[in-house]
Amino acid sequence: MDNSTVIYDVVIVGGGWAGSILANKLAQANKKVLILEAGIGIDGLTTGDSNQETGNRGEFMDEFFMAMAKTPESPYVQNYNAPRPSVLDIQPITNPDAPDNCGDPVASIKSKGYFIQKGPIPFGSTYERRGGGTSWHWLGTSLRLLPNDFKMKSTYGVAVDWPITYNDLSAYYDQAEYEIGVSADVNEQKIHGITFSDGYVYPMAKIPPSVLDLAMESKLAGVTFDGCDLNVTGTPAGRNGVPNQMKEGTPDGFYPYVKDGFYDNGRRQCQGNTNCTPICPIQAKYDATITMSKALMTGNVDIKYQAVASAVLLDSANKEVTGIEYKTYDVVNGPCTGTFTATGTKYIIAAHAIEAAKLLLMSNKQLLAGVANVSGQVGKNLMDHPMYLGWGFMPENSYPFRGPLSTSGIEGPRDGSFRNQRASFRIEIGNEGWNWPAGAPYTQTIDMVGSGLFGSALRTQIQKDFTRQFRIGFLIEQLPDDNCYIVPSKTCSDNLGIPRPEIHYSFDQYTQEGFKAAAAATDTIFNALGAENKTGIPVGSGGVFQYEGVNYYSQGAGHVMGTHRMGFTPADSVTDGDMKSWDHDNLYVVGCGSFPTTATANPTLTMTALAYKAADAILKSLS
Amino acid sequence: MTLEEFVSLSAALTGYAADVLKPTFDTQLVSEQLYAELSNADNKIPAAQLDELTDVWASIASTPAADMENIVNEKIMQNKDIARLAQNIIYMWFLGIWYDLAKDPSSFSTPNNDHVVSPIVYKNGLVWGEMGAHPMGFSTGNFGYWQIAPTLPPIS
Repeated sequence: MDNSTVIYDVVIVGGGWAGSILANKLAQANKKVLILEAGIGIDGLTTGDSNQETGNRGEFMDEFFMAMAKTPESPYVQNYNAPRPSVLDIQPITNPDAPDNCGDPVASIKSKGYFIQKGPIPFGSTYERRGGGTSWHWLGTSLRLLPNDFKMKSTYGVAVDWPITYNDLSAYYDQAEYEIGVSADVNEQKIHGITFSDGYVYPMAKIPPSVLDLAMESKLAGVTFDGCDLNVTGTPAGRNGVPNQMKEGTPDGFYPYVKDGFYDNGRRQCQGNTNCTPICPIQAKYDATITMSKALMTGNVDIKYQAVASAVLLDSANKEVTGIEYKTYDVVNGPCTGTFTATGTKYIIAAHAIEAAKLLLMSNKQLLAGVANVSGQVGKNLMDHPMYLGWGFMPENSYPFRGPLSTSGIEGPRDGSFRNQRASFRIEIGNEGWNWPAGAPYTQTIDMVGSGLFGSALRTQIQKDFTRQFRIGFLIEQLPDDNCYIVPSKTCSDNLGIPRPEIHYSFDQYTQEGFKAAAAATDTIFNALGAENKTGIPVGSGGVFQYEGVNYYSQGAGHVMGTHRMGFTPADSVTDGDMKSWDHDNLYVVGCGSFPTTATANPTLTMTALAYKAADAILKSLS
Repeated sequence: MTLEEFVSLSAALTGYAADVLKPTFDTQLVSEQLYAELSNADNKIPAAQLDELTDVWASIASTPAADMENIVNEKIMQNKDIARLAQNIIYMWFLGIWYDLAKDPSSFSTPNNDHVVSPIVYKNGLVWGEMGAHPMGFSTGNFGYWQIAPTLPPIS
């Protein structure tokens, strides 16, 4: 583990989404980059990796096929030296003051999960700690934020503004969409003030809508809720469709993937496996291993897997980062094999919103506030898009379990004057029947057979019911809130002795009003569709809360945001708009944790754009 | 119970013809894998139950097709001694899963012996094709197939 021969320009903590984007951008500019990845390696991208746990996509698929609970985590092995949370661990928190009892880390993680949940509402989202990060099981949704999403304070008088505007990010969105390979229609995406540069085309045409999308589109045309139209539109997706001809004058190689005037990233078209989460079997959906592969091919990037950052080291004046301390291991439940320090000129923490905040707070123990935390904002403002699910039967066959998990959505309710009082939301249309809310097709098949059906009667019932199942999911906005935060646990650690995340989480009235509106919008939509509403208690009911006497069941969206937010001053935020620490000149913190507010769009595309923005700033500072 | 008996019983329970469940040129060997579950010691199938199901099926296997479902209902599905074992055979064919006989199949209580029989069995689960779809994670369709309604398999 000796890299004394290489002087790195940049050390990146995290070989996931943001880390891969940053590494590739910096390496293309001939900077020397070292990546420390806590988890196990990406099969086929590195040689000499002796870890037997490394899996390839086919092995992950078999794990998934054999899993009884086909959760986002199901294809991927748990790693007790770099553990990850699981949706199966999300339970109501009945006694937050009970002793944690986590003396044996492996047994404790197995029985209670990785997070130390203090509630009152359990945090419902998860992530992966392995090469490629959570990109392994992202859905693929690649929506841009709305101009108003960047200025909640100045437009609606709530929360904070971002230190950057939509226009500042627009060109970075272009870059992100070309790297990911987004399929969408420009004209359809010009909503709520979103603009594109002249002649801009997405890399690929929009993904075709499902049978369900088409039925909903015709029945919801002209229907409104709370002043918002409920038009159904195609969802921009990071999955391969039909390549677009690039706008006239775009030179070959201007974007890395343009050949003979058309977009071409060399990967397959989507085959509609209905499995984007937890894993695309054919990599038609982008994941960060693609960009990591390109970064490694430059020859400018070294990556150390199974290298868990344990401290950010500072100089005696606390002005600059001098190194990243990290621990190594050989097998996922084996012992620590050493503690080392990685050094470079610039440092980037791109380790996931929860892990990045945890690392900063674990560091600099002599100053209890941690690294990059003069503002006291590190770990604060933990946010998600808590989801409300509505499900029922369409009046006619809409044929779920076909196509990508989601191909269309309802974007009208994402913005409006109501945002001064309640959370906005977007509505995702699911193509997987009641799989998420009600365990389809398993639960219903068991019910049918258990009620005595067999043979032709069973087949008839399956054909009648399963062809009409559908669900919608509301991604509800959360505001930054001091009551929602993550700190390193004082009592519980992982197998390397590194503290686990202790999470405090709740919904304020703004978000609870969003849930109430989502339930009302479900009624509006189901009435317009002529659908039979079967919304009830979902399979994952751990995120239950009561508001005005009504029980709501929140689901995690996997969109973990806010824990190292950008802002305007060193007092209000962890970084500036370039994601550079206010407190340490050579430290950047990049990821969805950078978001000051959540907006309603799935955050990955915006995180990618932010990573490109940070990369530009870092390159400028290195030149 | 022999493999042949298992396949003919499975046809009566699932509503699919025996030569669909066990094709002449069978590259998947699903019926063999499901049949093996009946002798999987982990499944703890009471010998008396398996014997009774075998005997009952032997006594009604030659029933004319038009009467078969009524007889199966009366002799197997309404027979509380063997109904659950028969249901488990249906679950395996449709869902690819063996559900622990000692608990309600819809319960998640642990520990239990619920298990997917194999990746191949999962991919051949009948429920998916029945609804005009494919197993999640195993599509053989082409790009864009999802915008056109499928044809559902005929039920005889």
